[in-house]
Amino acid sequence: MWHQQVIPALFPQIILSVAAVVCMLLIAVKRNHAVVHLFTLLSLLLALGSLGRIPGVMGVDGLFVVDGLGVFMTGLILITAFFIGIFSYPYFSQSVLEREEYYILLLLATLGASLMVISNHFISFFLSLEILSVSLYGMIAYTKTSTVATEAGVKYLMLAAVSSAILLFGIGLMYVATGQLGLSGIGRQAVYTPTSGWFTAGLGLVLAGLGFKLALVPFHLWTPDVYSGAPAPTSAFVATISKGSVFVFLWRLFDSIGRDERMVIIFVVIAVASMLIGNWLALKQQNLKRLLAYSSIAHLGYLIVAFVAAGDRGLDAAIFYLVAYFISMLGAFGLISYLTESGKEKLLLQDYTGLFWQRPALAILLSLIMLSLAGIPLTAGFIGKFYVLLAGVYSAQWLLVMVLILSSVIGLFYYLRVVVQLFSRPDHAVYFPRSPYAISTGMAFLVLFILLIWLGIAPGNLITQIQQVVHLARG
Amino acid sequence: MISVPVHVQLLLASILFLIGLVGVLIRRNVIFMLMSVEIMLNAAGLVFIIGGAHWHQADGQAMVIFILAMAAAEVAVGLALILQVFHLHKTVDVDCLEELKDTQS
Repeated sequence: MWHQQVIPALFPQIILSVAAVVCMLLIAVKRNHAVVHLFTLLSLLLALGSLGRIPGVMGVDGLFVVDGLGVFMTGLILITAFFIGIFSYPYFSQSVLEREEYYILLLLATLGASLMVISNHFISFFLSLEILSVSLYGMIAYTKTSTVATEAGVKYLMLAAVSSAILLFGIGLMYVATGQLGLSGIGRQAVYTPTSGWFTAGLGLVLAGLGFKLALVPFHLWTPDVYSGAPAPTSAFVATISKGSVFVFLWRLFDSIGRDERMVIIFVVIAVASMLIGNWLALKQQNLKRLLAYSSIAHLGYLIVAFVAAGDRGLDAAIFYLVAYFISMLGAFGLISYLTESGKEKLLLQDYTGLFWQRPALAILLSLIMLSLAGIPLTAGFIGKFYVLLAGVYSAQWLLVMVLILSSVIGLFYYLRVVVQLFSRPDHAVYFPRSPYAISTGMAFLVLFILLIWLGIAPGNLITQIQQVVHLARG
Repeated sequence: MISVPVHVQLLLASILFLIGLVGVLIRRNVIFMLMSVEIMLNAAGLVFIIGGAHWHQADGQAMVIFILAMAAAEVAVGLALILQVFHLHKTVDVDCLEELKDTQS
């Protein structure tokens, strides 16, 4: 159905695409970092403002579906991109390169992600995935004189291209088996016809492709290299938006084709492996960005627990968990980019020794983030983990529940190691730079800090919001 | 007109796909790896053509156009990156890219 209401429903995406073009023109007229930066932030706010006056579930030609889940996730993505935009300014002001184009890529990648969360068809999913990935290649290798960033870019390029090809081959096989490319059509076919070998093979390949993008074990090998090589704001993007949007599509796909017994077993194995291996490999890390990378693998494992639990309760838990995870990861990578000194990031844990004695506010924020990632009470991470656990218990996935608790205990150890490092007295004089562009970043940190505590103490508001969204998602 | 069964057609696509996959895995030159990825993408395109012909729909062919466009975009960015790698390392061998790895103490 194509009628008048479709255009307003797609306003955020339209605004983002126009903004990317205008941004390019702005750069062509005159290079000015501050102007481009402010323009990017304004257009993200505008896109956010145009969101959410949608009466109900609305399909757009079978390609997109603008429902509660889609609107909520688009909002979350836009807010996250706004924060990443703020963190990019001090990070790139110190660099001597052309830095304005970064914001075009940021807008385009955000566009890709916000299209993906409303995709209801394999063609729209594939296109939005490629908009996201191809912009990310540029964002990862953006500091082009740095050997590590280029290396991370090439690694991500090769693996993302291979995983796209695998994903496409899988989609193709499913298409041959069913004759449908829309998710609802494939769902109908999968229910009424006995599944053929080609369909199962295709689904397996699609799963492998999505697993690459989500960095689930055994497709996780690129994660630490890309996180540590890429500029810190880009790492924040890869850790949050890129994974969250793919997760939403995974949810939509399996909602329509149904989670049968064999699929659940595969997902249980993936979740257990991700939780254990992610936390295990993070234990001995000395590099903060690699530690966060392994921790994000474990967190995606927790999310898959909510995915296996399924149903409204599972979706509630997954969305709340995503919000808490986004806030924590944003804060952590934001701090890393803020403390970057003339293009040199502080990567090693020992670089952060004694941060508390120099910049107490930053150290307290980073400790709170680590506690939230570990799932300590009074932080957003605890409520998120509690909900995931509850969803697992209600769906009687005892193995997953046990592994979740066990791996959380393992995780606690390395998160606390970071906290101890922050508060220990340094043996030699340390110096943490004061960035000259501190006001907006400081405000952003303050907001993240308040959110972490607020969601940890009074999560009720957000939970009712999410429950309404889930209700709307079912129509 | 001789009609070839769908299974045989898919077998051809699968063989092409595997050739590409093996190429990516054993080649160490980034440019050859990119070429192998192209073979994989084209194998996927062939599957969509097969599907379109099998179901008498235009969807499969529309998808192939998108795949071609996306492959071109990916190669454009990829070659730019490879140029930069060559600029910095004077080689396009992936084994020389080894700065990023786990250093455990």
